[in-house]
Amino acid sequence: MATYTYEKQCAVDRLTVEIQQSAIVTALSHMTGTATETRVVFKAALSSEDEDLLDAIVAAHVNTPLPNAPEPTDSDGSRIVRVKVTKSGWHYEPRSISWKCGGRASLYNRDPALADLGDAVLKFYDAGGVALTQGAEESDVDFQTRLTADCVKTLVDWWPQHDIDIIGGILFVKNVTADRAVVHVVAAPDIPAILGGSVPFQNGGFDLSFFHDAGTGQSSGQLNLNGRGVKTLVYDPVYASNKLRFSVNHPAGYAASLMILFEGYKE
Amino acid sequence: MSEYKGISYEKNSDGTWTLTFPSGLSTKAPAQSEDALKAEIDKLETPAQ
Repeated sequence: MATYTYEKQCAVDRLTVEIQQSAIVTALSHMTGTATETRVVFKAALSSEDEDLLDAIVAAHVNTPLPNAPEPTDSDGSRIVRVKVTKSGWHYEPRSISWKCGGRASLYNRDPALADLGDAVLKFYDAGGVALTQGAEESDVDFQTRLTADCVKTLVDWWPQHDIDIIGGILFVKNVTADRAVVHVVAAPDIPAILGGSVPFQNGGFDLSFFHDAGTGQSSGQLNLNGRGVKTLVYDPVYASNKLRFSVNHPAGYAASLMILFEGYKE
Repeated sequence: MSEYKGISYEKNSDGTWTLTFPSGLSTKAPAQSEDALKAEIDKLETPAQ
C-alpha cells in the first residue's frame, strides 16, 4: 500500500472516478478524508509520472459529490440498504489491557513482539488521594507491601495514539470478594470540570462484589458494554481528549484482577 | 459555533457551553462568560501520559 496525503477536502466518490478514468495504472485501494485532508491509498507506490498526474487530478478536483444514483432495489422492489460499519480501509482490532488492583507492575499491554505498547499507564492512590509511587531506594517487595497496606484506588489511563472507532468493550474480572469495589470509566480525565471534562463513559459505578457469591464460590465475571454503533475518537495530542480512564475504588489489600477488551476499528 | 485554540464552542440557551475537542468528544461546560471560558482554555496544558 502507498498513501498520498493532500491538504484538501475532496468528494471521495468523484475523486475515485477521476482517478479510475485517468492514465494512472496502479490500482486504487481506498480513500479516507476529513474536512481538511484527503488520503488516497494505492495498492503499490506510484511512479513519479503517475504521482505528478495524481497531484494534477487532486489540484483540479472540485469538491462536489456525484449526483445520487437511483436507490438500488431487490427483485421485490424493496430498497436495499447498506449499513456503514466503519471507515473505508479500517479494520476491527480489539485491544486488551489487564492489571491487578494494587498490583505493582501488573499492567499488561503488549504488541505481538511482547513490547509494551506504551499508551496505557497504571497508577495507585491512598485514602487521601495521594499518588503512591515507588521510591528510588525502595525495593519492589517493600513497594508492594506499601501498596497492599495503603492503596485504595487503582486506575488505568489509556491514551490511544491513533484514531479509533470505539464500539464498546468487555470487562473481565477475577478474584473479586464480597467487599465493595467500584469501577468507573470516564473520557478526557485531564480536562477540568469547568470545561466539562471527565465525561462519563460508564456511570453509576459498577460494583465488582456483584460477581461474588459465597454460596457457589464464584469470584469472577464479565461486564459487556455495547454502544450499538461506533463513537469516533480522533487522537488528540494537545488536550488528550481521547484519553479513557478506568478507576477502581477498593479497600486496602484488594487484589482482584481486571482485563478490559476494547472493541473498535482503526486504520 | 466559534473556535479557540482548536476547540469549537457554542453557547446554549441556559448559559452553559457545548465544547467540541479535537478528538470529536463533546463536553458541556457550566455557565460563564465567553472571556472566562477562553481563560480556562488558556490554562489547559498537554498532559503527561
